[in-house]
Amino acid sequence: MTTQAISPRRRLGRRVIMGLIALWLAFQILVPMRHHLYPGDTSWTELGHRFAWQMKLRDKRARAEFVVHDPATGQQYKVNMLRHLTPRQISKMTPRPDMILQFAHHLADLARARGIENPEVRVTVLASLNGRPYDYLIDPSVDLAAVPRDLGNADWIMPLVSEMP
Amino acid sequence: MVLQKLEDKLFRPVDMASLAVFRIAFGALLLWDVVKFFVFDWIALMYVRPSFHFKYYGFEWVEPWPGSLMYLHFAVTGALAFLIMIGLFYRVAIVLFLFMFSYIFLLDQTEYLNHFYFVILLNVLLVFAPANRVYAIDALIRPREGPGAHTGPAWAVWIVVAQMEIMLVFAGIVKVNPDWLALQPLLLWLSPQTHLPLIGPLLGETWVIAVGAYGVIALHILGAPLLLWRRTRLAVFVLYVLFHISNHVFFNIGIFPWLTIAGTTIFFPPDWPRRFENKAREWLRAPRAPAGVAGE
Repeated sequence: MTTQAISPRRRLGRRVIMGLIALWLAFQILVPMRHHLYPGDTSWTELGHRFAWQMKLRDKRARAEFVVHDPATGQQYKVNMLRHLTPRQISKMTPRPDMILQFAHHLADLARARGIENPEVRVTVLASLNGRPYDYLIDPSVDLAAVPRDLGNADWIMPLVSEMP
Repeated sequence: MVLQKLEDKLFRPVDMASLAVFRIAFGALLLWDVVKFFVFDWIALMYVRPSFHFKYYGFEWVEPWPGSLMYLHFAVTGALAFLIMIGLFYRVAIVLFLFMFSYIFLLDQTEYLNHFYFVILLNVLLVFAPANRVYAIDALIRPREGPGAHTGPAWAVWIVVAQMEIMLVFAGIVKVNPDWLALQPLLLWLSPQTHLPLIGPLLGETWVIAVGAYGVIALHILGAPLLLWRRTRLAVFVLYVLFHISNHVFFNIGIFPWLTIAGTTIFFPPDWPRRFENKAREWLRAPRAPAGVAGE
């Protein structure tokens, strides 16, 4: 019926639309599976957690303390997060490693602006996932100011070792 | 040839009524959400007051408007949602809405919500779908001629069906993990809610939580594909409506339950709103609405 009536140009247009639909669907299926590329529990590391329909999977509580260190003078100070973030942002950031890294970079930028040439930023985050005992989420010895933000694996995130009660 | 058969299926003209109903719900729910941002002043809470914003990788360049312009941005976004709902200047409105909404979404990772991401995905599809041929002011101002006036290509409906199906099945797959199978975090969340009327006492029972946790996996992994099958569609739809309403009761997840219920109606035949209308008219003993479905 309709297939015989259409012009070659229209046929080409249809095939282009079909190609775009296939591309869109492939994208929709692959993006939510990218968490398989990262080691560890996605609810803990949050690597590949977004844009992946990971819904209602984690009850995560966390507390964080950032410390900025000036290697030139040996001085260091604890960060009052409320001076930089809203309580809402703090509660969303503390269980999420990627956001912790961003904030660490922000703190490093602020320190540089205040004349500290090579600031080091470390964080102690204790987190509890789905009722497990609290444990370190981020390696407290790593200088996050020196960790680049990329989409690769994040070895500065501690492995999930505590067991469910 | 398989490709030819697929082409015939995808470009078969179908009634645009079901897509139009979805468009109306999409516009209405987003308008409602924008109104809530004003009423509770989440605009200041989330985008004006913070001095630092968490950025998405690759979108570090997205910056908030200064002060009152942020309110203007939300007002325009709400107005566009209204235009989408009534189907006036639809194509312009749906494209602009995509930019306005995505901009808000990209402003701060703190506010990431799966349902906002889902809104963006559906929005992209609605940009290409002729969702304004039925139940729209556009169709009144510039009526299309001929028997195919309120039809469009079947793919415009099927791509939304596919989007819904992918989201629902993934929502089930991700729950097949040791924590969920050990009933966490559902136990942590639901056990303290025993004060709720009627269902409250049940939530104290572990077996009830277990039925819920495993039931949700079954609903998504088995139920969602059964939405594609005519004989099981209505039953699964009813289960989904109950599921989304219980989510609304237990968790604070905004428009998501309503958006997914609206999205699930797209699994019904493309002319379901007309059949529904005719049924309603029969009950009221009024004249039938014109059936106008080419190729049905």
